Amino acid sequence: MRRGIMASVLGLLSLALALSGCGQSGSQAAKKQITVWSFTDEAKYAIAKFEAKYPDIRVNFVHIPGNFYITKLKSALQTASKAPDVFMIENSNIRELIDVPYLENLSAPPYNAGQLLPEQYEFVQANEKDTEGNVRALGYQATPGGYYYRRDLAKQYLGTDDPDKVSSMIASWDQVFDIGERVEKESGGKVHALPNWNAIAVANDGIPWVKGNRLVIDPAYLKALDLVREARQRHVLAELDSGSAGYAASMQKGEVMFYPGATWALQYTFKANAPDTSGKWGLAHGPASFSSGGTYLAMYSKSRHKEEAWKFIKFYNFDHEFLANLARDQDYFTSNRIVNDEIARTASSTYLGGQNHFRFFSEEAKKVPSRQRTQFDNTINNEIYNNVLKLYLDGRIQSKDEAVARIRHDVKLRFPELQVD
Amino acid sequence: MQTAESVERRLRVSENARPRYSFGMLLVYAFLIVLALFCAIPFYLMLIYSTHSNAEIASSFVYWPGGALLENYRHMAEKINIWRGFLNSLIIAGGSTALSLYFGALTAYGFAKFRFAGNKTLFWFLLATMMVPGQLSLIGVYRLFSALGLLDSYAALIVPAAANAFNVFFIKQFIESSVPGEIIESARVDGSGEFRTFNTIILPILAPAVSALGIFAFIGSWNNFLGPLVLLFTQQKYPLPVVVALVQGYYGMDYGLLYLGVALSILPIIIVFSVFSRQIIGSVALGAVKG
Amino acid sequence: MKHVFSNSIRKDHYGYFFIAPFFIIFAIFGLYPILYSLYISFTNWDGIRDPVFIGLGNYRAVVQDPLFYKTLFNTLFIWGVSVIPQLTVSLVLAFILNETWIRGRNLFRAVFFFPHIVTAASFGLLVSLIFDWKSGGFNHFLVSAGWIGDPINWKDNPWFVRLIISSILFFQYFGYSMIIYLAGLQGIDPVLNEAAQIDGATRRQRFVKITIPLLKPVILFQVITSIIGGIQIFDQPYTLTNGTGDPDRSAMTSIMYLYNVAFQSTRFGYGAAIAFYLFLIIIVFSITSFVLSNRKTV
Repeated sequence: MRRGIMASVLGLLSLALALSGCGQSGSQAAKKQITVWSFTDEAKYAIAKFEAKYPDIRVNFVHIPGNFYITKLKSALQTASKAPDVFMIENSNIRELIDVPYLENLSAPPYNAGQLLPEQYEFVQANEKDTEGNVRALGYQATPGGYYYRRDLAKQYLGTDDPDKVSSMIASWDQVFDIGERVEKESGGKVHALPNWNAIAVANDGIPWVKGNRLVIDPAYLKALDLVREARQRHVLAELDSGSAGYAASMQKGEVMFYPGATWALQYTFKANAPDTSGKWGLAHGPASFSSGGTYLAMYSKSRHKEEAWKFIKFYNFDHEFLANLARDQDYFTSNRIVNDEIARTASSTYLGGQNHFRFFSEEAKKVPSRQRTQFDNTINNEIYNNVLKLYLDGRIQSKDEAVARIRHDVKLRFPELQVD
Repeated sequence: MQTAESVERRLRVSENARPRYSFGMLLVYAFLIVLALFCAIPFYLMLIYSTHSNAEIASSFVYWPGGALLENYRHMAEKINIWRGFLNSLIIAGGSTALSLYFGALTAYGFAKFRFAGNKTLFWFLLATMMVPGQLSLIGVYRLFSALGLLDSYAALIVPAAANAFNVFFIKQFIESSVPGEIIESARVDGSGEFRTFNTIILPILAPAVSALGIFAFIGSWNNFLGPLVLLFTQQKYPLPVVVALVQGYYGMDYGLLYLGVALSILPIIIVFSVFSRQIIGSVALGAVKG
Repeated sequence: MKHVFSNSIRKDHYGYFFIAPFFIIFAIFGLYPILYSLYISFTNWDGIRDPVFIGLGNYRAVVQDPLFYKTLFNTLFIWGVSVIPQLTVSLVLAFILNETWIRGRNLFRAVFFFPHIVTAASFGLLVSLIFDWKSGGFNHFLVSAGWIGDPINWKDNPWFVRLIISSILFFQYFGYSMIIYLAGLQGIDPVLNEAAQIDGATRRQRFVKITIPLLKPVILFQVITSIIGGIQIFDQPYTLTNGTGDPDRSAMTSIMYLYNVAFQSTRFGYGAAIAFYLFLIIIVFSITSFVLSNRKTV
């Protein structure tokens, strides 16, 4: 019995050690290989198409989910250990990493990305250049936002579900709040106009916080504080956290009228959470034109397969045939103006009740302002400002002066290098 | 003068003289049962949630089983390979438990039965290592494995487990109270080498304590989330907790799926524990902790 | 037995061989990373640019950091509120379940241990779901039972969130503590209790005068391991508040703050300094408990 235990222990040990040996990079095939890292697995589609077009290049795709992506990425880039050749960066991190020397300069020859750039929307281009104006990353995704609405609720409470008419009815926050108050009363508290405070705050997404090393509090941010307070008081908000189960459930049951969302929300939020409500939705232009999210591709400056890596990045961003397929197969709104304008001529979405969503987003994309953000913006907005907003909303911070003082105090603490008045 | 016999008789009589179920006893039982119910409720809820769809969980308080189990399973299987996660967890937890127990016993034996210079100091040092927060060394561990080329390997998670101060502490206590020096002496007289003595004679005696610690170590390793998340890259190697976390897409959360994954990952441990509970709880006692 | 005596002395140095593997592995996988973190704590490394030596800059910054103190307070409060019930209730339970007249002892022991088996992270998620404002089961239950009119925003109140976390911790660890106590109890010679019983001691007197003093080493052990574990509370508050420690970081524990600083904002130097301060605090607390407990016996 004891021998058995010892044997099985040793067996387990050797199994473990043996298995640890497997899975390392296998035999060196005749194919060239590049390693691509991402924090989602949506690149699988692109990789399949890429490998079909370039059969002599093999893509080793590594999907690293969760919060550790950036840490692992940074460490890999610095130590060159198991580093990727191509890696994705999300919008919230792109400004922080854009100046890091490990991102290959794509404006330089042989890439000359600067010549291809005009195919993309302006606001995407702004994120792709470092402080010297060199292109360091290329974003295949364009993420202008719109206000998704439930057609049945619109018909019930607004008398129409036509996107243009609905758009004119929600052109300002006052109008939205009026609707919200009415809807909540008429439905006995069951239906609300907006899901949560973020629906209002997201309209300001991207407005810079720092100019020339100095903290700048744009008045829009302060206005948002009052807006969310008013919205809560007038019961416009359903108080469901984004991404929560309740949020998803509300989509399925039709308890909220308007959800601000970006292009990717169609596929990854609506279709994912409420597939059975296809046809019940529409897209309207709301009180603001905004962009939310975005994914960028960058090349490792120490990559040993730069030629193949560039082929992949260029393919993902500028191969018109691929982009058109991606747009059609996955309802994916890419950053390429040319492809989108072409598709916008005939696109329509069953999920959105037959609406031409590509034309909608094309219009919105041209309206999204192009902004110069710094590496501080994301933290200041998401950690410091959002925290203050929530405290203001909950009444723990009473006045706007207090809010401003708190923002200044927290920014000073977190970024001692910035000038705060 | 009280003989042992008469003492025993008096005790038995006094115990039997009490009525079968006093009010105090009922209170005690009530307390135990209520507490046990509280302990069981989360498991019950988890099982229930895994049979409902995301929408149902979010919209009402569910407490009866629903009908979405198969669908949740299908969704989950599309996104992740939970059985592969099982296997990985088994390998990692099994390997690290085995290593930590074996080397724990080895080290404990060394401290307990050999009087060498610095024994006490080194042991205090060992105890002090328990006080270091694990997260302190996380980034250093990452860089170390990176330099050794051991990132993204099972070995990275298994080998460091060999240095488990907690196990050493417990087993040392056990050895000091349950392993008489004579056994070692007679083995030496018989000409057995020290290492052989340890493997063939001491280890079997330690079996009860070791198996009890084994369960704690196994559970700890099974539930380890941060370690594998940081040190592993490829999805096929992720153990269960990380695999279950993968169920959450980047864009949202599906609670039905999540709880199915969680329920599946807990089930084996519960089964093992229920089957072996008597031995485990009994043998922890044998490793009586003394000062 | 002179030859046996001298034999064992000659064998004593073998002890080094036995303990060597532990210390070697620890030196590589334990000590080296700690020393590396120490080195990093004197730099401003951000994970991607080369580290720049800044001396005690990080350590000074931590001392002036209000968030460090806030999270420390959170940690101590959450720990204190959970550990006192945890260690006392589990002691009482161990005592009860050690009595032979209880039926189903093993079943109870097993059930009480179950919460310990659940991954801490899943538990935090489950509780987060239950206490959700609009879609949480707890509110649904209260409203349908008629006890409240509108759902309450539980997670909005800092004290309540801390209490929830303390409760989760109590829940997950009381069974574990109970088992450790059980082990200690079964190491107490039953003759002592019988003798006291014969002399007419009541159950409570036996408990207080015999059991507890004899359990002192076990209690001390539990207190110290719980201090060590308490400073490291992470999984439950992290998943309960989705990593934010909201509201306004009132549920953010020290290690959450460390994780946030070191791995989310990748300020490794600063994070390392925080970690070393926490290590120091653990040592101070542990030594204090040790000294306090030993002083009483004198």
